[in-house]
Amino acid sequence: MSALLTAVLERACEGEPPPGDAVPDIVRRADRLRRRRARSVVLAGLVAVALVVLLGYALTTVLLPGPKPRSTAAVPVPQPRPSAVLDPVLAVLAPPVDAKGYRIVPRPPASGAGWRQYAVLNADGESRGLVEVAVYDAPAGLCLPVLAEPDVCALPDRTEAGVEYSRYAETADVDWQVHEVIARRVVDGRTVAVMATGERGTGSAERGEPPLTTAEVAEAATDTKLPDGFGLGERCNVPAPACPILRVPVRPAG
Amino acid sequence: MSDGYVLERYILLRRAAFLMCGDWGLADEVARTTIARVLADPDIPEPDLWAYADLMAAFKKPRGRREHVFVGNAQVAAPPVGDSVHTVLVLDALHGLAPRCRAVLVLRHFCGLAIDETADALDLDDSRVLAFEAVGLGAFAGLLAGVR
Repeated sequence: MSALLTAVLERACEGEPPPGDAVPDIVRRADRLRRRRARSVVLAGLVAVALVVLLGYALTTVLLPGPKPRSTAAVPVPQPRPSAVLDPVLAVLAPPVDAKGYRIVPRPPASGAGWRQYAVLNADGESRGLVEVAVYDAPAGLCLPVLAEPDVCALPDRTEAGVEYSRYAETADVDWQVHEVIARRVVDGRTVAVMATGERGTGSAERGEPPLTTAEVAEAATDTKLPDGFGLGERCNVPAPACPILRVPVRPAG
Repeated sequence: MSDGYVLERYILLRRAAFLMCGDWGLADEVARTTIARVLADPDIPEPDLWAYADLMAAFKKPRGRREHVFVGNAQVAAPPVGDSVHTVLVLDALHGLAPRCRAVLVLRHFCGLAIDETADALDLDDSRVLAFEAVGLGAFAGLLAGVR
């Protein structure tokens, strides 16, 4: 039966077409397959190498420790600020100045360890005075002076945030008008003095008026962000010859 | 592999494929592809058996629902009427079978493979090959009786 079935199947194929160009076509196909296979092997190798490199990079990034953090020891150095926008002291002082249509900019020498200095200009670019800020450490206390009585300490005002402060206005001399506020954070004794000086030598009470009122100076001096704008260890406690000379000096106890 | 060997294998594989699908065009394409794969990979241990397995893998799934097969050959100007009818009858009988049953009949009785070789090519065990073969021979019994 098997031989008969074989004969039947072979007979069914008798009408087959001639082979034509089958052999060269098959050889061409085989060559194409070999090339494709070689390309796949090369590509797979490249992908494997790329994966190994990526994996190595990822593992070393995740597992190996990074660079040591900088020491946070208190070093009295001015904090580098890339621009006025990122100057936290200027950020506190600028709003009341801007509200008057003035501009406030760092005035060279603009800063040192524990102090900053800014010039105030009007819309025409003319100077309208100076704002100086200095910080002190007074953990043991601070005598806020009374101008009329050198041996007496002033009774300070106090904000809800726990800042004691005293305001001073020296406007008798039209050529040297000063608004100054000394503010001390009670919790740690960190003290800020902000002094706004009008343009000097104008001979005019109006043109020599300080760019900030005492209320505005007080608001800036008691702003908790102001002392935090200085670096740890920055201070103008004596001896500090580079710090600005204030009209009402700050003398921490101890 | 020589051109003579390639041609010989091509003709045999094309016929087997034709018995599987009833279409000389499709059979030609499948046979060429199978032999090209064999040539492209010289590390295949048993190229002849591998070629049969690869060829039959192309016909694992039925290609559409066809109750009967009609064979036309444009390159043969005037085939003998008797052979053409015979071919239609044989293909019709083959296509009445399940694909694997048809493959067993073709591999065993047209390609001359042993039971274990057929089992290897179709990834079946020997008993299944025997069972498929019995079913296939049963379906062909009437046709073979007519031939006798």
